Amino acid sequence: MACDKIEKKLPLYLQGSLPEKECRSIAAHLAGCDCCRGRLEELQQVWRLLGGLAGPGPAASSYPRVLARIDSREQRSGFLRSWLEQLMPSFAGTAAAVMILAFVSGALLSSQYYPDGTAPEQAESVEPAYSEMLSESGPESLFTIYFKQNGEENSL
Amino acid sequence: MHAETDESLMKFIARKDRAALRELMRRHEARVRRLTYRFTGSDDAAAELVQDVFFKVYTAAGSYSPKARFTTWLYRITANHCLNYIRGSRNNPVQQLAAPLEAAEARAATAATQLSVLEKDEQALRVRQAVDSLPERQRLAILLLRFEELSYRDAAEALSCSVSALEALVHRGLETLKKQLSDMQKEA
Repeated sequence: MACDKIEKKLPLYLQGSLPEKECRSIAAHLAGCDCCRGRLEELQQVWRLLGGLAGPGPAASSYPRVLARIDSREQRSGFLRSWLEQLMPSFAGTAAAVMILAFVSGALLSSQYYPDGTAPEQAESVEPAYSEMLSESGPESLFTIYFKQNGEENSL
Repeated sequence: MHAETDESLMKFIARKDRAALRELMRRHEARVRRLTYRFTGSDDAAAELVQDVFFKVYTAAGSYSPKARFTTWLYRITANHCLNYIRGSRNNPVQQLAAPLEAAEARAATAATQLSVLEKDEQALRVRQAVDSLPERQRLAILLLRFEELSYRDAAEALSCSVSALEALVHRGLETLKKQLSDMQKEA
């Protein structure tokens, strides 16, 4: 086995987590390779020093707090369900209400814009030049358009 | 309930059986606490993460597939929550700084003044700082192998990566630790 492959296996070799056949193969390689033996020694030291990383102290079970979260969640979803049930007594009623809402919203939005991009008459009286600027001029700066319309040729 | 396998308990939990959740926590809370504590260095953070993990176990029980071993699935949830914790703490510098110092300060407050105890605490703090300096995925990879004694395959599943990606994480993490702990290695 090549040294770079051996190096990758060393942590598991150290823990004795490799199959026996693989362990024997690595042991045989280590017997004849100073470099890999050196790496193993370094790894052993790091592994040993890591053992000094403190673990948690004793603690009470978190089960009661987990239960409290579950109860809170189930209570919230219960409130939401009962609120919806009061508004919409049946699923069919709920579905119908959603469809009506979607239809009305769509109708309101589409009524503000004509397909050709011009604005309704009431918008023209507020800003008569705006829709013409957009439809005729293309992507020019509105500042430029304004000054041209007012007789000033220089744009900002 | 005690005779049921973890996978079988999950079926009960999917049906909102709280007694099954209690049994599952009795079996596995310690391992989750171990990993979250060593990952964060903070009792408070670990306690919160333990709750997050088992709350997730309860709410996601319906999606658990018994093809995967339960402990691997549990480690995956724990790893994801640990990673989210770190990402959240990046937006909260106070939380980020507090965690690694907390354990050392707690020990300093209660430790005897004997030199060997102080030296041990100093070493533990340096190991803690070295581990904290690792990018989070390298940190998790090393903790899963060193302390949870997972195989490369199980650790790779927990981190949702390939075995070769895990090997690279471990290799880079160990190289960093070697450099960080080199003076301690010489003393040893």
